[in-house]
Amino acid sequence: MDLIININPGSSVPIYKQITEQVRLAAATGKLQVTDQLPSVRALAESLVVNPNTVARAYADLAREGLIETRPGRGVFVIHKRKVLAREEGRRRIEPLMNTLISEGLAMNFTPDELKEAFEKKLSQWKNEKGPKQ
Amino acid sequence: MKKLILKELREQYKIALIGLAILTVMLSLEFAGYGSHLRQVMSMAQGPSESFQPLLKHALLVQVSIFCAVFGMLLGWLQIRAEKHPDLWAFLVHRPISRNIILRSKVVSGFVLYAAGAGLPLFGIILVVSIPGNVAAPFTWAMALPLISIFLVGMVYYFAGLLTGVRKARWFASRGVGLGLGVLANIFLFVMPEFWHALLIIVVTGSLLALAAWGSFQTGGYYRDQPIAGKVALIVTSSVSVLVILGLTTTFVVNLALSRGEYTTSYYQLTKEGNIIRIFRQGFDEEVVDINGQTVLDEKSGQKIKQQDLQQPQQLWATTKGNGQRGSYQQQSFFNITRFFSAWRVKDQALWYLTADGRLVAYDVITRRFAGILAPSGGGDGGMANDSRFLLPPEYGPGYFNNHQTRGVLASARTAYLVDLEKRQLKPLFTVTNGDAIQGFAGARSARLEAANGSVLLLTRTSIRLLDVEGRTKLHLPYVPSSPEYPMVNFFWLEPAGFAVRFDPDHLLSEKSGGKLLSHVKWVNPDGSIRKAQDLPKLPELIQKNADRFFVSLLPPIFPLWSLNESYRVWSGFRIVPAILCAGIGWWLGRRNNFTLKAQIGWGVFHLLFGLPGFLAFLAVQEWPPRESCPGCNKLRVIDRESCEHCGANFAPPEKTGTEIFEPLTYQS
Amino acid sequence: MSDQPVIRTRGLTRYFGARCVVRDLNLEVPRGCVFAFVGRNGSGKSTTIRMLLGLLRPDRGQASVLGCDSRQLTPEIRARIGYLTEEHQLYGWMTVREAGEFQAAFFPRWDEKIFRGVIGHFGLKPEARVKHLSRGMRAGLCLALTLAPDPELLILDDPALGLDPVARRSLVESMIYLTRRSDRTIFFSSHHLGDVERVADYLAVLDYSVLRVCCPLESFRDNVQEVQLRFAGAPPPLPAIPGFLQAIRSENQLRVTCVHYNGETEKVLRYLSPVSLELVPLSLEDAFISYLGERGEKSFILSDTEVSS
Repeated sequence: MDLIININPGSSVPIYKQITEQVRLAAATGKLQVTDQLPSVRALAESLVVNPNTVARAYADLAREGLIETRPGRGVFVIHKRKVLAREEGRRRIEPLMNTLISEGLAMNFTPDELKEAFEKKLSQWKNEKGPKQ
Repeated sequence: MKKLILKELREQYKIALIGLAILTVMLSLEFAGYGSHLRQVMSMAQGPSESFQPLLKHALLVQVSIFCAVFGMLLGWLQIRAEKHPDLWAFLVHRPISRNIILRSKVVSGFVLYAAGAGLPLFGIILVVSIPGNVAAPFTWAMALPLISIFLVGMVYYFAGLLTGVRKARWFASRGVGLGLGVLANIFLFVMPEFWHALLIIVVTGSLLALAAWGSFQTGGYYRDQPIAGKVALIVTSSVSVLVILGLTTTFVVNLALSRGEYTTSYYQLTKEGNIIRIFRQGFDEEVVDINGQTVLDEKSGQKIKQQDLQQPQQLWATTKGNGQRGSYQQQSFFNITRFFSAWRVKDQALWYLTADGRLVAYDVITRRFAGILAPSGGGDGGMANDSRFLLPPEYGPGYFNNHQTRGVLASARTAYLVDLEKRQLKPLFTVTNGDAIQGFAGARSARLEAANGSVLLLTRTSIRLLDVEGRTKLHLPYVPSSPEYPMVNFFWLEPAGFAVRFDPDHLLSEKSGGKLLSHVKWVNPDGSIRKAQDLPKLPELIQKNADRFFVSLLPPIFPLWSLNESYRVWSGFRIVPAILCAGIGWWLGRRNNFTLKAQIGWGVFHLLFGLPGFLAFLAVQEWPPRESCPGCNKLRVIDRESCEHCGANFAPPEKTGTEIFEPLTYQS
Repeated sequence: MSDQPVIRTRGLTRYFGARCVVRDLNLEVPRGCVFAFVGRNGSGKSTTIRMLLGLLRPDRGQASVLGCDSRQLTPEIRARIGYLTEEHQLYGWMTVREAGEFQAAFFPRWDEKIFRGVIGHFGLKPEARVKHLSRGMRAGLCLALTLAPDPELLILDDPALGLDPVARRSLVESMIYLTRRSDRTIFFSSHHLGDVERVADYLAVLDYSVLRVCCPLESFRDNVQEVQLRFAGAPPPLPAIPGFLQAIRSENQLRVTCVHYNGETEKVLRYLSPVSLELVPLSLEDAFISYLGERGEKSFILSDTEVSS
């Protein structure tokens, strides 16, 4: 497992949220596969140098989302999503990312068609890398 | 605790070594000078008795005193200043042992360091002096007592240093609060009659200061919340210090302000013709009157005569009160050399001392060893007076070797002897009859008057005798009025012929009798018959200096007046006025700061007893709580009570600004 | 027993001279948490801590630690409290090893492995003298001396003051190490909000002698909001807003920070008819600065002096 989490204490995003976001991103990009084991609360806390309660809260949120699960005596594992994020929630999340992509691209004088092309290219790249699992 | 003691020793050993070095050098210099001092004696330039016994040399005792005071105080102060930084203090104090143990560790190590730095050199010098061949003077172990007491007083200063270091004082001056008590103990030391008196003073002042230091140590230097014993000790210590300072400043200031010429004295004197005159002196003014109060005029010039113009007759003075104690404190102190011996004569490389127990002992100047003894040998037996010890002559004192007179006269209770130091013999001059005893004597120094040369005056129980140089009786009078009322006899050779004898009463008995014992003069014809006798009228009292009077009125009512002279007590009743004033102001201050009733009463009693010095000390140590206006009644109230002393309202919680964020904290597992 | 707060104060008050430095402090610190105690310089944090440890007497009110009144902390209780001060003062003549031996003699639960571990972590040589150590190394030594007796309660008074980032990081790691045991509590004051954010469960803020915040760390950040209002022209004057903290005015913008932002506040702000109204997320440090800074409209330092170009 090559999960790398970096937290930044000065940011306007609380630390626990930074952890959950990065875990989510890792799961979404395939860095974290289902049945992968996450570090224990204490191990992660010590490696990030944060209060274990913060890590515990992040893990609790992730568990509530259905992304991870704590098995007593064994550890914390990534599981298959039982709950699917509501479509609306998903759209809300993607919206700012799309805004960023489009605004930056247009600012650099790419045409909409060029952007579309680049986007589709990236998608198929990922599909190939991930394989049929996704 | 052991760890703490080791830590203290490690921290402060340097100062102990420095002290050790300084004192050792000081004492060594004293010894180095001793040799040349002995040589000086042989060449007639010499020092007083005490300079031959270093353990009792006044200057050395003062020096060692100052050293022990500074060293002791410095040690105590440094031990506390080691944790001057509040965080280091916290480091010392926040650990699982009681604060008492921490203080005890400091004090134990302080004692050890002090004993090393001051005790070792002193022990050394005592040891050196005790070994024969080092000091050419008598030695007894009792002579070490002054140094021992000075050493012990240093511990009093140690506690003063602790107290000074630990107290959080607002004004600089109030830091030195323990010093006054230390200085007082030190001063008293030099005048105490016995060693155990000194020991008592040391124990009392030391305990007081130790208690005050302990109390302040408990709170880290603050006055409030100290245990009550510490507070009491602190306030008493401060009061005494303030008293000492007040005394010094008022004496200084008042002496400056008022004229110096306040000192008045008057006394009688005999002219060489045998007339009685009275000298009256005030400052630089002088008046000479006769016994009837008439001013004496010079016969030739008709001018007022001055005392220096009058020629005094040849005289000899003797007393039955032993070594002529006139009642001065210094002579009675256990620091005084005359308790042990007095320098008598120097002869043939031998220093002769007259010991206080009435024997002549010799010490060789070169070898510095005991070289001989001269004492009357006969004991006393049924009826005959004691002949084993000399009585002490009037010149017995802290003075010098009398080299001008190699022949001297000494008497026991039975026999008067001529002392021959060359042959080391005693030649009896006169022996009293059965039932009589010699009570006092005096031998004449080289006299202006040939007739008086070599005379010896003897006072026995019944008679006054004048002997010539061979011991033959030249004059014989009954000793009337006699001892013990009139122990002092002054014998005058009148010119051209005849004698006069003046009898002076004992000082204490005279006071007790209320002035009924008057000095008495007898005029004697050459054949021994009494020509005339007269009492001398009482002289007016000495007027005390205003400075002293003023100071006495400031003394606290608790001050023991019996320790002062009768004449000082004149204004003493006035003392109650400042005391009442202070109690009043103290009461008002207490009300203003919401003292409890118990505290108010306690302070009230204190102010009445301790007067002005106590009040000043009270102001110096108190920590006044700030005051704020009360939400209930708008009056100012002290902030250290829950409810207002005027209206009983509590303090309002701090105002809310609308930006508070309070949420319950969950107890996590 | 574990339900009792390890630190409790009731109306704790202290004056220095006529100035009140701690006023009516009511605080409860639960067992097993990491409690951050923040405030501006001189707001009374050190004084409070000294009162908790019985080094200073309060003028009014009480404090108790581990169930024992602060004025009478017994030796047994003191054995269970570790205290680290900001100056990291020790006896300069001691060596590192001597300091360890000195402390070990007093504490029954001294663990030499912990002491050596922390010493090693900071790279301290046993024979080095304290007076030759840098501030960071001294801090490491003090930390070792404080942690080795295995204290139940760790009280730290601005321990990171003057430390370089490496030493500071080691300090934070030690605090996290202590949380291994759920009955260990840490009470510390600090100016480093980054460290506070990393390690604290709860936050208390002393605003010049008065306690104004005591809540979980995230609640503080959640409750301090910044709203950005954009206007067509110059922004209008600001009306009274409940929980108002600060406002920064620029050309056509108004940034307002306030506490407990809710519908009421939004309504008041919308009356100003801004072009847009947006909630801006704040870092903990910014939230803290606007909470403890001066109330009212704020401008950058020296912004009204002309700078010659």
